[in-house]
Amino acid sequence: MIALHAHKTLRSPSGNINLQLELEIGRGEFISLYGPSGSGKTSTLRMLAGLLKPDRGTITVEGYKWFDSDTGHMTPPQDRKIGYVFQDAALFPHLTVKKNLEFALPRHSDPSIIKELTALTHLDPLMDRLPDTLSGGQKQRVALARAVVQQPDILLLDEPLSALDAETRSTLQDHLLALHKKYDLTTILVTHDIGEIHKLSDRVVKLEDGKVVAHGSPISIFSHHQVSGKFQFTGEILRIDKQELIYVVSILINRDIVRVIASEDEVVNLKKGARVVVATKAFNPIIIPL
Amino acid sequence: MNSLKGHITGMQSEGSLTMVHVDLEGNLPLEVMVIDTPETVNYLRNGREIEVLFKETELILSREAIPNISVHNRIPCRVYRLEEGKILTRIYLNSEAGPMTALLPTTALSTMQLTEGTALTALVKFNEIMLASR
Repeated sequence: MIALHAHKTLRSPSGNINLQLELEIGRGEFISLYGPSGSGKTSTLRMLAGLLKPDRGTITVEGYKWFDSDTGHMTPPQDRKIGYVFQDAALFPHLTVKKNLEFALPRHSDPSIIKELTALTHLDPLMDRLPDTLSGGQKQRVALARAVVQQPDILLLDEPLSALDAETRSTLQDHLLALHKKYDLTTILVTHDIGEIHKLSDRVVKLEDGKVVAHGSPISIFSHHQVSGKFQFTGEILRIDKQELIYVVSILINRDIVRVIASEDEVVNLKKGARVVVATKAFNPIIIPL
Repeated sequence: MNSLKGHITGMQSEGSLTMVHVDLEGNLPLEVMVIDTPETVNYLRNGREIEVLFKETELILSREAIPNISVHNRIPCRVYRLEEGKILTRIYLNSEAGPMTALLPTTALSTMQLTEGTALTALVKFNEIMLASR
């Protein structure tokens, strides 16, 4: 459990921001931080990483105080088991992929984790390459593997996929989920991409002006409608075809296209590209072993 | 999609399942099963106004007022329009709970001898209904 009760006044060109964070994150949760620029998302990550000192409050992780303004204690960044990935991969340019990963390996730890990670993130063919010869997506894959090589308990991700094209982003999201599960990480992702939030996170925390204004499941935060159907996904309308008296609506859900039968009142306000919730009862789907 | 308004009159929970009793407008009772309990969602409250949603393909129509079948959610209604396609026909229905539509195979139209004004019972199974709360 991470308990963040931290206050900090940040000075920015557009005036002061009063960060007043009251946030609890369960072990193993995948959390997305969502909110407008300047709402305090990156500062939240930096406080957790020990790169930004709160003015007052406490940060407690699994019962250990990482920060306490009353006693003046602050655990230094290197003693917090944290992996951090930024939008810019920030790899050492003169080291190969392999050396970049080995450099991050904590002393006295088993180097076999590198082999395991490179297999999981499909980096094996790139091990002898220098960062300059890699694509943006490949660099971020290395940055992600490097963060996990450090065997962190908490993975902090600051818009690591925002500069990538949709397909690369989707692949990296799959890698992220696989790593989160395999290494029992508590992951906190800053992102503006609502599709990404739905795909990855257990819970969204919405920040505005330095405060948590809402938190909950992605569907409860982004849908104005609460529907009891348990089989719920969000997707994007690809096409709407009228056939006989009904409409066949093709919807992209993650990387799969599903087709849903709809009546006119369901499609009347929808256009190609609209984001929608697709919901049905849990009683309808059947399960077939592969 | 059919959307009718009602309010919750009672609930029976068993594990994570709840049978929700809803009264539609016109005092028509309905049973709806959801995989939620009053502990997991805030809209499961007695007296709470709720929307009842079901697809037009899930509606069963009968000419008998109380058909002797296992579907107990019954809404008396009357046909006010038919929209006939080659293989599908949409039946527009009026009821005390509000307007509904049902999608049937066009062949059912002649077997059931449906015309404007025909009095019917609309039936929908407890597991085909979703609840929505704004």
